[in-house]
Amino acid sequence: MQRELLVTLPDKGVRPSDAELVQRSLCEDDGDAFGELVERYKGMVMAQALHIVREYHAAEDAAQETFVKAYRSLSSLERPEAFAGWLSSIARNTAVTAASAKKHASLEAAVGEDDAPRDILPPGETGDPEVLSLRRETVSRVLAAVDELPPAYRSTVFLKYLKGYTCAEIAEATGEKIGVTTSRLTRANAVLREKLADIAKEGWR
Amino acid sequence: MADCGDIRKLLPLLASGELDGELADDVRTHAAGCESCRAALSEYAGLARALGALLAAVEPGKNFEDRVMGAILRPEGAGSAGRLERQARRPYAAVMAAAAAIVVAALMLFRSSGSGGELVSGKLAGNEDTIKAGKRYDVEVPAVVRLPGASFAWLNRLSAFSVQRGVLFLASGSCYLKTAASSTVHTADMTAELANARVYMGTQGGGEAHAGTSGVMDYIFPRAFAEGRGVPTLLVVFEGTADVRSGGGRQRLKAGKFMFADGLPGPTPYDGYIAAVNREVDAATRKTAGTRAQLERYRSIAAEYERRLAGFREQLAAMDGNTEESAFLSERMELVAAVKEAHEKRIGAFQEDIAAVFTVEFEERVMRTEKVALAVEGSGEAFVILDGF
Repeated sequence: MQRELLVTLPDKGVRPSDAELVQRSLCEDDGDAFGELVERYKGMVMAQALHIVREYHAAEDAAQETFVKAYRSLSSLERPEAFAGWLSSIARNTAVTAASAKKHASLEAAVGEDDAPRDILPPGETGDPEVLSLRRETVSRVLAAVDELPPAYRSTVFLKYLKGYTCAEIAEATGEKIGVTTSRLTRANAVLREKLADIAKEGWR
Repeated sequence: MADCGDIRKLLPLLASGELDGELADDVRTHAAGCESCRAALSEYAGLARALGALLAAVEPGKNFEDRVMGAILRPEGAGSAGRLERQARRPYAAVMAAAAAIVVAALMLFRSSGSGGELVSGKLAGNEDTIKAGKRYDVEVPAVVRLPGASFAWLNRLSAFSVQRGVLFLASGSCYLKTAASSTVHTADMTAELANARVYMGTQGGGEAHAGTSGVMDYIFPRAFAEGRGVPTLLVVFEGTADVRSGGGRQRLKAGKFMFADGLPGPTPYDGYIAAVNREVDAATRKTAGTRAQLERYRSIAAEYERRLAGFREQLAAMDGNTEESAFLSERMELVAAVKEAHEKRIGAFQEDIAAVFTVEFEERVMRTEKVALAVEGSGEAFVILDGF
C-alpha cells in the first residue's frame, strides 16, 4: 500500500544553518534553537537507531538519548557546521550501546517469558500480515542502504527526501557549497538505486 | 541529442525536483527518446517517493521534540547515565561563564590588530574591531596577527568561535600557544600555568566530525562518547613547563609530555594510548637531545654576548665625547654584535631541526591539521588551527 509522501514544506529563506542553531543553543541557552535541530535531524537519528536496535520503541529511546547527549556535549563540538556528522556518530554509539543492553536483557528474558512483539514498524501499522512483513523487509533494507552511506551523504538524503529541503537549502543548512550538495545527492541516488534495485523491480511496498 | 553520460548524472536531480528551466527540458527531451534514460528516470522518481514515504513511516512519534527537551531539562539523577550528566554539567556551565570572556579575548586579539598590533595577513571584514558571539567574521587565511603584550588568552571551549573553509567564524578553540614568561590559560576543565612554554591545546567534539583531526582524537572520542563521557582538553607541551590544575589535581608537565584534563579520578581509558604516544614523544626527545644541548649552549653564549653589549653601551654612554676611545669601543661592539647574531642564527637552525623531528611525529599522529589560521605573536602567541575540512 502506498502512503502519502510526507514532506514538510520549507519556509523559504528563513531557515537558520546548523551552525547558527548550535551557536544559539550554546550562547543564548536557546531551547527553541536546539528544538529546531531535533526537528531537523530526528528522522536521521531515528533511522540510524532503528537500523541498529531493530525495535521501534527502543530505537525511539535511543534517539532521545542521542539528542540529550548531543545537547550536553554541544560545547565540545568544535565545528558547529559539522553538527550533522557529529550527531550521527553519537547516534550510532548510543544505538550500539542500547542494542547490546537489549541483547543482555533478552538473554535474561529468554529464560522467562519474552513474548512482547519486537517490531521495527511503529505501533498502529495494521493490515494483512503478509503485506506488513513485506513492508518490514522494505523498511529494513532502506534503513540498511541509507546507513551505509557516508554521514554527509546520509544527512543530505534525509534533509532532501524526509524534510523536503532543496539542495540550496541543504547547502545553506550545512554550510557547504551547493555543488557539493548536488553531487552528494546524485551519488547517493546512484548508490541507493543500485542497492535497492531488486525492491524497486518488485514495486515499492 | 545530448550524450547519455552527462544526462545520467542529471537524472536523479530531475527526479528529485532539483532541475528547472532549459536544463530540465533538455533532460526530459533526451529521456523521451532514450529508453534506458527514461527507465532510470522513472526508477529515480520511484526511489525519491519511496525514500520519503518509508523514512517518514518510521520517524519518531508525536511530541518527540518535547520529550527530548523534557529529558534535557530533567533534574540530575532522573535521567539515565549518571556519569554523562555529571560530566555534562561542568563544561556547559563553564561555557556560559566563559561567554563573557570570549568577547574580552576576541577584543584583545583584534583590537590589537587595529591599534599598535600588526595584521600581517588576513583581515576582518569591514575592519571590525570587536567580535560578538553569533556574528560571523571573515578572515583570510593564513592570518597572522601580531599582538604585543598578550600574556594570557581564553582559548578553549569558545564554542562561539569556529573556523570553516578558510574563514574564521565564531570558533571554538584548539590552538598553539607560546609564552615568553609565565601566563595562564583557562579552559572548562583545566587551568595551566605556563612558563616559557610552547603548547598545543584542543578540546573537541567526537566521532566522525573529527575524523582526520588526529590519531589520538580519532581513537579517544568515539570511546568517550560510547562511555557517555565528555571530551577533555588535550594539552601538549613542546617547550617549557606547564603546571596544570584539573579536577582537583595538579600536575607538572615538561616538554614532550601531554595529558588530558578530565576530572575523573583514577586511570582513564586513554592511558594505554597516551603511554604509546608518549613513548614516541620520548623517542623524539631522545633523538633531539644532542641538538637541544647545543641549542642551550648557544643560547647561553648569545646571552653572554648580550650582557657584554649592554656593558659596552653603558661605557659608551659614560664616555660622553671621548671620541678616540668611543670609536674603538664602537668597533668592538660591532664585532660582538656580529658574533651574537651568528649564534642566534644557529639557534634558529637548531630550533628548526628540533621542530622538524617533533613536527613529523606530531603532525602524523596528534595534529594532522590544516594550516595555521591565526597567529598571535609577541609575548603571547596563538595559532587557531583549521582542521577537519
